[in-house]
Amino acid sequence: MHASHSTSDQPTRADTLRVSLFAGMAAAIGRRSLELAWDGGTAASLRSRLAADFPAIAPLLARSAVAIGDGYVTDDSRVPCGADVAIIPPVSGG
Amino acid sequence: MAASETNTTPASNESLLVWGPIDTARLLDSVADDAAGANVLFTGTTRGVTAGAITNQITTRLVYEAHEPLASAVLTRLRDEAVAKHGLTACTIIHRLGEVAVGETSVAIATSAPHRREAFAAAEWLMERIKREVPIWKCEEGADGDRTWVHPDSGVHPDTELYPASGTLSASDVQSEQRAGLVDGFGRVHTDLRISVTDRCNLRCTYCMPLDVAFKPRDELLSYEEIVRVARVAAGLGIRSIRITGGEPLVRHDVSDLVGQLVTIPGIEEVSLTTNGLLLGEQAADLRRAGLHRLNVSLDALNEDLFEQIARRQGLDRVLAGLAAAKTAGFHSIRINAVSIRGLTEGEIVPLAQFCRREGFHLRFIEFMPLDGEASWSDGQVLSGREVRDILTRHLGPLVPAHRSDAGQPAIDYVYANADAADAAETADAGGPGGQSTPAAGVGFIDPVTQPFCDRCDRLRLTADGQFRNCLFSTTEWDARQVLRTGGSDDEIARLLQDCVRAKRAAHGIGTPAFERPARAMYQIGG
Repeated sequence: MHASHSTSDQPTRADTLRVSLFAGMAAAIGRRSLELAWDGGTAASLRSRLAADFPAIAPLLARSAVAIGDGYVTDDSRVPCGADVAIIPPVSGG
Repeated sequence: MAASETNTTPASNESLLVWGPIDTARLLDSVADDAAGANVLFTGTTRGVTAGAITNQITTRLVYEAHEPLASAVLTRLRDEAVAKHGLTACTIIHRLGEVAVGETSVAIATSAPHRREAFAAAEWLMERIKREVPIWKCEEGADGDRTWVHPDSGVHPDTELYPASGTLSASDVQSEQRAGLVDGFGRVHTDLRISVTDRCNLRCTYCMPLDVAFKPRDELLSYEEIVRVARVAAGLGIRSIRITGGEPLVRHDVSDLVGQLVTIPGIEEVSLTTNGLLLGEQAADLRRAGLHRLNVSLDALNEDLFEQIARRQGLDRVLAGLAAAKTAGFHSIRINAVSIRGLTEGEIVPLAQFCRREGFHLRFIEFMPLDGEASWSDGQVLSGREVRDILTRHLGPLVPAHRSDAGQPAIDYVYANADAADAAETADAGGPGGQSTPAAGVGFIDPVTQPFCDRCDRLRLTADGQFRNCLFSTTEWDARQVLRTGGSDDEIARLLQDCVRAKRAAHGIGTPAFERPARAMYQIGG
């Protein structure tokens, strides 16, 4: 299944996922945001998918948390289609 | 709380992300309190020299970035927890983002408490937690221009249990949520499903359809079997009423068959249908026999020429005949939906009202909404419900608000204060469940533009080509057809519908800058 694009005569299909990247992870692949074809699955399967599609971020990904909306999700949580996901690598604020 | 561009300190104690220098001098003022005996200010400043194992690391510049919404949420929570845990009188936290020169303050915390021990302890506690949990990252730039994002090795990433995302489900939550019903992120319970059975229509109303319209191939539309299956799943999740729409539903063959199947689904209490009435003459009896509970008929004008001008087809006489047939077939509390269009339908308001009063139909005026096929709509065109009410009052006397027994229904209903012989006898509601009472030949107003009823919305939609939508104006859809046609389970359909509900926005946003016209027109969604 391919990701569908929003054109002037097609509504956005919710079979995609937007994943926001930050800091070293964004720098590693030169992208701040990814749009993936997604038909549902857990956070764990999202991790596998990202590691497979973007091997450059795999090591950092393993040490990162997955956030959806206003908080973090456990690996067995469902990631719904159309969700706004962020990958949170080890933090260094303060 | 978004990152602010200015470097002013907050007016009162709170947590904040900022993009410019932090004015630390005034931070202590922000936590001043009559009950505070101790005030502590901590500033974290960027180091130019970091002691290393062999050599010292020289940093010339730092840049901070954050997942701002999440960082704000976490900072707010930390601040609240610090206040509660340490008995603080006040607490301010500021974290700076963007470029921070060496020696400048990247984070500042001010606390106040009755005694110094709590004030100091809270500041330290907060720094520990901020460094561990807030999704902010720093990038260090060295003298040679090397930039390194800092991701500490000690596996320091936020504990997912501390900040669980609201509204996401683990596998075990799915079942309990299914029992809880279709509730969105704003607490709205969804009990109404609009099902469009076709995008075709035997009229071409200017506000709905472009002249040279292209309909979807029939195999792209859901079969009745597929529709019933989806309806069954939806009923299992809490849908109680179904409204059949289109395009024009009666142009699809044997809609009565579909009606007959839908009315028997356990959990479905009412099945109704919206039609332009042209084919009601032939189908009213079948529909009634199949068990259809309620009919809505769309009729914008009683003037034949105006009807033709709007619908771009002839047919007023057939609609009137259809209405008569519906009454004969035994349909009570028939509703007439009239779209109000400025510069066009003002003259029809009173005639329609008088007609409906005589016939015993409940009339509703609908503000013209921005979903026409020709992509032509602007704010100035809305003939508001209030104006229609004024016109009615001027000609037919005062309108009195009627009792609203159905909170989810968007219309505001009125009855005519001047009841007279022209009114039909009060029509008791024979077909509706749950005590829904339609005022006897009263008039209602659906004002999606001037009085959005988003906060009470209880409806979801299934398009003719099998997409779930959570709003007429939503720009996203959830593909149920694909699940159906790739051997998906009922559980998967259920999950899809729940995803759709959970993503529902607060309001449609018409008239606000954020409003985004959906790519589909009304006839493609199911009005």
